[in-house]
Amino acid sequence: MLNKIYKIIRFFIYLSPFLLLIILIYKDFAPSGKVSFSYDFSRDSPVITKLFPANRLSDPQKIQNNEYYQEILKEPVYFETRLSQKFNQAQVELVFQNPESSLFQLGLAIKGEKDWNYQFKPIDNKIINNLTWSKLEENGIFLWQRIKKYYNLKDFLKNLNNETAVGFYNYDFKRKFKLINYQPAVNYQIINKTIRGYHQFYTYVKNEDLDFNFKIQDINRAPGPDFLDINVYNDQDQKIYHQRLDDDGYISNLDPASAPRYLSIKIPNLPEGVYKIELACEDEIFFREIKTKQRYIAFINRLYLVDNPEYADGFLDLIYQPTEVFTNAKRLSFETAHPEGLQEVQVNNQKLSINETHKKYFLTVDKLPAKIIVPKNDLKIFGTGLFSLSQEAFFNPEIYNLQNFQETPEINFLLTSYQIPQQIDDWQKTSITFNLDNASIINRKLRWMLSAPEMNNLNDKIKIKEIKITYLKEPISWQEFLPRILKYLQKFI
Amino acid sequence: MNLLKDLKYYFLKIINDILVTSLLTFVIFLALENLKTGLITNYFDLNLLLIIAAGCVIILILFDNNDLKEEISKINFLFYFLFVIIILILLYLNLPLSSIFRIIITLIIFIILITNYLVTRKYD
Repeated sequence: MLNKIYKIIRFFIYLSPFLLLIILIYKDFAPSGKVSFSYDFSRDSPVITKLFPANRLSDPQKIQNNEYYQEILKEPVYFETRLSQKFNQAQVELVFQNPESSLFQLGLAIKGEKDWNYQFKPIDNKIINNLTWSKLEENGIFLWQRIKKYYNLKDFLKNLNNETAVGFYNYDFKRKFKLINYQPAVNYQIINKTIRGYHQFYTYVKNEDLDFNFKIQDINRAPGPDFLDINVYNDQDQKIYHQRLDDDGYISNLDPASAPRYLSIKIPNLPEGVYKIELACEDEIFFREIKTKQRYIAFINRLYLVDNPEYADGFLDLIYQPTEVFTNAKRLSFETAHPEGLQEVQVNNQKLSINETHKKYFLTVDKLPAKIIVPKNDLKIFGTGLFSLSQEAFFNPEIYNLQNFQETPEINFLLTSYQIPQQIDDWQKTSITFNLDNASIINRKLRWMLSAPEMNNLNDKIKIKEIKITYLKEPISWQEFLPRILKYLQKFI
Repeated sequence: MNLLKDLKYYFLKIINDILVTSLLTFVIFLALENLKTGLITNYFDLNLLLIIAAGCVIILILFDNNDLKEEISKINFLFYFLFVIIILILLYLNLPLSSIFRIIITLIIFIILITNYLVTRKYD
């Protein structure tokens, strides 16, 4: 009798690994189209790596029984998630505390020409969190209205073509940006304010050539060759033109500044629309003059002004006059590298003293668009937004895909999928969905970045309590189940 | 008394079966994990199998049974003792499954298991 019972038990003991394996294969196959993993800092996760690099993070700290968090001390930090198979979407859920940073965002590494390509989505945007406009929500889409005009999203979308002051943020909108009353300029405009190093700017073309002439000089303060790559991108962010200017032949830091060289871009027959021009170079390259037939030039996120006696050793003909800059960036930062660049900057009626070199000074603009007056130049200006060197040259083609929302007069309606994080006790919780079609998958892993652009200067610390990832794909129907599981099992043979 | 003795005998036989099954499962799952990273470890902690095996060894050592000892040789007990030490080292170091050290140890366990089976099997 005992022997019989023993044999039955033994049968189940021997059977159990097979049952376990079937369960594991079923889970990995994910016929429901959904599989989730989480990392709560109490123990390692097989799917979600630890945050890295470690020198930008605290050790995991214990809150109470089995509850931990980790502090981000410097941004950006990264983590990777393992993909068990092909999925269409990844939904990332984060539990965090962000006391100060106006923007905390999650980036997914995507395919691209450069090594560093991330698609960012906001985790916590304090500007929108504090917006007092009327809010309407339908199916995860939010319509913010400065003055309430629409009572449902359907009516708004029906009238979208009649509304001009609409901004889109974190919302996949396929409308092409067009300036209806645009007329090409008759004469060339000349920008004789010198700018230094890497810049990107938008311009607009309609029934005209894309026509730019750059006067360039290399200051040769640092050893090594200095190249300039000029790239032109269309409104789909596809590169349509590239031109390289080789080094001036002076590679020693004892060499003098080079004589002016000229580089022209003339591209005819371009379809109407916005074009982005990238001036990719080191800070050694000075753009002494930009001559163009285009009406609009809006620099993206960064402008480095250099008409200052600091550079008199290289260039004797700099124009030492204050510079006026027009911007739609709400949060600005300024930095100079030289004592000659210490000055008082005026933004609208606000004043900001730049008293130290190599230090970033921040200012939140009271009213947009803003006029910045830079008395002495030799100043880097940063901000999530656009900058122009004259009011006439300013335009905002990002309105259909805002980098960051700012309360400007040009926007009365904001359409966004950004959801204000949910407050749970002391923690905030949010969920962000990414499409994986264009994701960069290396060794069956996705790479993610957590970034808060201002935190390094604010000495802010962001706490992360939990990261949960849910991979999503179409569920498998019963008819598809057998062929799909056979295909899946073939991978093991 | 005989019933108690028989119960103890079968109980220890079950523990022995669990031990062998968990060890073999560990080795096979590890091989599958190397074929497709994440198939096992994404959903199951392989250390559990090692913990179960270690628990079985402790029970077998604690509940000494002469009848069973005839089936489970002295070589077995020496192996079990070493095995517990290895498991404790593995758990303490918490090495990733892909580490060379862990793979080598797993191979040694596998070889010992096979050798152990060949040495102690009964011929009918």
